[in-house]
Amino acid sequence: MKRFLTAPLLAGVTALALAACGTGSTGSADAAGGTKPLAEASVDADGALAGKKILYVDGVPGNALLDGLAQGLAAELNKQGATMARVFQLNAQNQIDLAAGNQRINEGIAQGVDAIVTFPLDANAIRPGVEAANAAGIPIFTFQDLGGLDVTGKLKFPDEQRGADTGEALAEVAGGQGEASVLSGIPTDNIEAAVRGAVKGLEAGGMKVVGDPDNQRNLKDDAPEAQRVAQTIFQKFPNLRALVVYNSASATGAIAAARQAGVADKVVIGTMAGEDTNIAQIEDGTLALSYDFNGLDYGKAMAGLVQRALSGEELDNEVVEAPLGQVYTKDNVGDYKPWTERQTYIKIPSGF
Amino acid sequence: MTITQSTTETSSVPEPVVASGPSTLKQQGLFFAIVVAMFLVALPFLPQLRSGPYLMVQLATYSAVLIMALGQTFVVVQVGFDLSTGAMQGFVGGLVFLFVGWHLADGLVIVLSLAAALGIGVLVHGLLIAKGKMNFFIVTLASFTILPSLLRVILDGSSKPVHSPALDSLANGSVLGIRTPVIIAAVVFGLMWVLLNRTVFGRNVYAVGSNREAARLAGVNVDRVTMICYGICALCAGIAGLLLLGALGAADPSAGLGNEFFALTAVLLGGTRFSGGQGTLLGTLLGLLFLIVLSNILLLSGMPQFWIGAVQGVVLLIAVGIDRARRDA
Repeated sequence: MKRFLTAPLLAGVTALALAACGTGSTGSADAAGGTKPLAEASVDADGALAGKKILYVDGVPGNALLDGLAQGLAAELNKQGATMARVFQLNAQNQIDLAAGNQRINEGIAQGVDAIVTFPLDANAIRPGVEAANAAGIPIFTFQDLGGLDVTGKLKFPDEQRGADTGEALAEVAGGQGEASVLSGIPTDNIEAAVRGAVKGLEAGGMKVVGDPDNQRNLKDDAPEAQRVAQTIFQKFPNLRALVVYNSASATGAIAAARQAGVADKVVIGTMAGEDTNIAQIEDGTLALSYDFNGLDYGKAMAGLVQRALSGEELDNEVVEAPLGQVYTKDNVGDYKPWTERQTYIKIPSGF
Repeated sequence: MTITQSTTETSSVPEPVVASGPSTLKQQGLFFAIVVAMFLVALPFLPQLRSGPYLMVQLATYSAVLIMALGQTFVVVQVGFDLSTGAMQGFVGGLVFLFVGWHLADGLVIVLSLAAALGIGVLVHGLLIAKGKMNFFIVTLASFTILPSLLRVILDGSSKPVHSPALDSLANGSVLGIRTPVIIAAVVFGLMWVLLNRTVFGRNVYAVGSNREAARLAGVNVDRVTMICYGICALCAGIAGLLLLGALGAADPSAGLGNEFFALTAVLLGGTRFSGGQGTLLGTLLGLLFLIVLSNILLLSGMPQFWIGAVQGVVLLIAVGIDRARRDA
């Protein structure tokens, strides 16, 4: 028994070692595609929120956009003297679980936190947790304005506007005429709003929108699925000149599809939610543009909302608009700074 | 007493119940006719299907899935299933990202990545299932969760561009108008076909799948056959991973997930039985062609995307049900 268990054990350890060697699991991506270690959190003990404990119930780990929101939020709260813990909506198997958000909120209530911020994955799924926080008298805030949740305050994402900005900018790159389409994603409120905006933006830019975004979705939210969907779009619309996609992975898939279909030099592609990977794609000419919505600023705006509530201001379903981002093309890509260089990323604890 | 067996001793191995006998060939001929008929019926309505370049793109896109399905066929024929092939496909992309980051030569990157996949298949899956007597579902389910997790660790959760000229040309090149993934899939198909149909090992795979105990008594090293089958399956998933990475130009944290079921659907549609001992690589190829034609018809005809998975699932049930009823009759 021992003899034949040794080999799998060794293989497992080797795989783990390999993985650990090459990762930035304790760091953040830098401009060169490498990683740098996270800094220790520095809480200003004299800040206006000194001694306050804020729980952030985030979506999933390892998502650059969510990391940005969390880092912006933590930095600003720490500056005000509050400590922030970040937990995720994952189940015991580490899989995304809509119900887990309620559990995290209830754990926060039991710990006696001073405020809870959450990134709802689904408005209905998180509603019991929101109601529990309200019943406990703990201010609760949400990123996004979803599903009529009764919260202390919410940060509304300018999704339709970013879609419109992306569509209009891409139409300009494409010459303002010809056919364009939109590759959508999983039907969440913010993606639907962004897609609506993209259609309007493309049309405002002079393009004729073809295809049905409701039936052109990357339902697996990964690059290979986007590649398959984009292939169908390219085939159905051989005269397509522009394609807006909803996020970074979809851009990677659409670029691969365009290349395989031999239309890479004919169709321009733009993403409504870009990451550093997309900037590299703009630099190598495979992507026309990327909308950078600067999650750090979103996080800071949310911290401002929390501070107002904890400073005694009476807030009830207060809605704050998140700031607009910026479109990067080959003309201004040199100005782009990765989020990790705009602000020092810190270690955010998972408990108090 | 332990029975060991050299490759020259296999004359005592019983003939497989069904490998590629006349009835199987007839069945596959019928299946091929159905695929062709579907394609021809759709042609007048979907002009896209008349485009040679489009069809070539489709074949290139699904070449990776075909390779994965070929490996899965070995495992299913010997009675089993590797749930982790999609995860392995993505994981190999992560390994390539690591190795390229270490500035290793492209050739070495490919060899090391495939060696890692093969190693996991033989030394983890095969060994734990054959020697450790662990259930194949449990072992590969573990890999199904471990490999994507490791991949996310390697990639720090987000997709990373990978610049590898060799993989780029493997996935995106063409020779005499034929896309290289199609050529690679054809070569893999040829090698696997010879292995399964023209070697002692192939006969042993069918023998083990038909009756494990009888095969053991006949002198087949059953454990070795099982281990090699899981190794072949993982290796094929690794090759599929290289093609996917090359096509995307990036390692993606969720790459490959879900493809294991698509590949398995092709295997089962092709007539390979979960109970083992029966099935052919040609059947798997036809099963995948059927799915490709069906998917294209559904997508190009504008069927609501949410329904496509349901249609594919129902088609699988119907096809396997008809096959079962025919065999029981």
